[in-house]
Amino acid sequence: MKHYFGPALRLARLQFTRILRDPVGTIILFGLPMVLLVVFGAFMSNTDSLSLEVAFVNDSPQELSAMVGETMRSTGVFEFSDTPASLESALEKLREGDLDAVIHLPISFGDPAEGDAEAQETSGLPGGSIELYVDESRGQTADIARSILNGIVLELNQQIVGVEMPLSLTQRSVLGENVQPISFVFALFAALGMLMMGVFGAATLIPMDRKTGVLRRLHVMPVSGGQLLIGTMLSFAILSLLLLTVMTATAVLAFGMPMPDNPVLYAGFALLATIMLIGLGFAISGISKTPSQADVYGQIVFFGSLALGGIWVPQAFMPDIVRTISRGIPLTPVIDGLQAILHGAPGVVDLLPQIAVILVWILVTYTVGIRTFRWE
Amino acid sequence: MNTDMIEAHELSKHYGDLHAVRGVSFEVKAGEIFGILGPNGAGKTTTLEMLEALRRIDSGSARVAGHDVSREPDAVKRAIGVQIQSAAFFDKVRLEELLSFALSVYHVRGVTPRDLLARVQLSEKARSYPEQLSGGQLQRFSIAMAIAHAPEMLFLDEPTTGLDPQARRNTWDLIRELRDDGITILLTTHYMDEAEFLCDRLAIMDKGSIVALDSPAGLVEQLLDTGFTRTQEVRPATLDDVFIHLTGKELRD
Repeated sequence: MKHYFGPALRLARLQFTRILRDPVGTIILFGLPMVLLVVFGAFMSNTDSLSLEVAFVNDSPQELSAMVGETMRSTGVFEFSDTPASLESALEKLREGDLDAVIHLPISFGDPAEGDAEAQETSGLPGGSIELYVDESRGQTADIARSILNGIVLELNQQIVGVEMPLSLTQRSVLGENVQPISFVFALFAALGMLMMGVFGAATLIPMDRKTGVLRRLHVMPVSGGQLLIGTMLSFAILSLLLLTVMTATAVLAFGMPMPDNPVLYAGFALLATIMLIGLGFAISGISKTPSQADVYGQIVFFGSLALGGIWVPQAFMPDIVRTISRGIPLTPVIDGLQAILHGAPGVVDLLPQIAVILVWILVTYTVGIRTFRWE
Repeated sequence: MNTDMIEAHELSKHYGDLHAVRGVSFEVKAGEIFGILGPNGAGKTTTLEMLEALRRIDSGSARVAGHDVSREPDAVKRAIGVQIQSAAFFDKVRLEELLSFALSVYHVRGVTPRDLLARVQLSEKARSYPEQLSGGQLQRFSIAMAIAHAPEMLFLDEPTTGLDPQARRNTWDLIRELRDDGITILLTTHYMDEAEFLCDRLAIMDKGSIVALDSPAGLVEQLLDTGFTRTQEVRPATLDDVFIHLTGKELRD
């Protein structure tokens, strides 16, 4: 036992050392997940300074139109650009990307004759429609502007009518009040970082060593393929857990993410996940004839996982068949499991579905990796 | 007492339709330097790799250091040291770290990486990476890796290919020192002067078969017995000697 694992541990140490000493490899494996975390973390924790640059084109002489302008200013979200000469010139600036939105109050806005004619005749209340122009290609900007303007319209309606609206909407989270948005993106980027260790680290290192003759040199010694794979797996697993530790510390200290309630469960689940994702790398390395082929396969798996894992498009928006597939890919249970732990999953039992999928993938990837491993 | 370190009997190897090695038989006696000489593609490296338990033997049998190669490949690997052609090592790993790994794989105690580096005159390179070594230094380091566990038998595959004259002469001296320390050596080469200078006995291979086997002097005698005469006058020195005389024998790398 000691004679088997001793050289494997030595190999792990050598592999770990050489990877850390290679600045390019370290930057690739550590840099991308960290950059994504920092950029998105800064974005999500910086909601106070959310601002949209808009043109406010007010063609209405009514007092109500000035009230709309004041209410918009008071939100602190809308920054009014210089008063445009006309709606057309404002829309031109919007098309050119100089503005986030154009808000237009037509000449008839606030006129009691506007709106539902029958209701206006009976109530004599002012009416009208605020026109919001957006660039549809910038979906999130349009959603934010529309959402805030809806709130303003609701508030103004209450003031005009003078009564509290009977219905309202309150959003509550089932995950608890202390869950921060950063927890969601953190799980995505942590899983992505661990995936990179497998599909760009382990997957390309072995074919590269095979090509340069390093494996051939090892093969003349009493070192087995199993010892080599164990050593390589351990080195990348340590790197992966190191990356996760740095990312967790960054998210907690810089972006206010709550620490996992159960750190042991967190570490154990992360270890299991990283073993599986490195196995995915071994499978890729085994079926690849050259390092460049392994790189291509790795990219296919990586970008496919991004697409299906809900990183680009939320799974809720996916067609049923794609959503079913996405639940079975290696990355999904890792993301789901990490999110569940960060949102307070108390024990292993809560993670059994994710753990079961990961164990199946461990079986599949290591079987393929070991069966297809070759020294030359 | 059996003094044969290698007993190869009717070894054969196919790569698809190519019959790379055709029924090769020979013995290597303990303590000798045995050379396999031949042109490229003659089957030298394949023969070596079968004896090193790196390639399956299609037919025939071989015993190395008392172990059956097909049945006890791990025992063979533990008994032998191997320096392969185009030696490659983990990049960004220091020489002393690589040797330390080799010592741990063979469970060697009482020998340090520094001892091994001193043996091949690379003490000052202990903290260098393999990619920082010259060709000659890399070959010497490769030999240091191969002798880390004090093997009974050492396989050297074209140990001086690509080296300058100083590095070649130095490697020859090192090989002879190892032989003097009791290590049996089997080497391949396609340099005639190397074979003549180093080898106690030689097998000449061509097209997968051994076409002659004797001591260098014996092979020359066999040729002369056929009536062969050399038309060129034999001079007491070669151009290689002139180069060494003018530039010195000491290592430059």
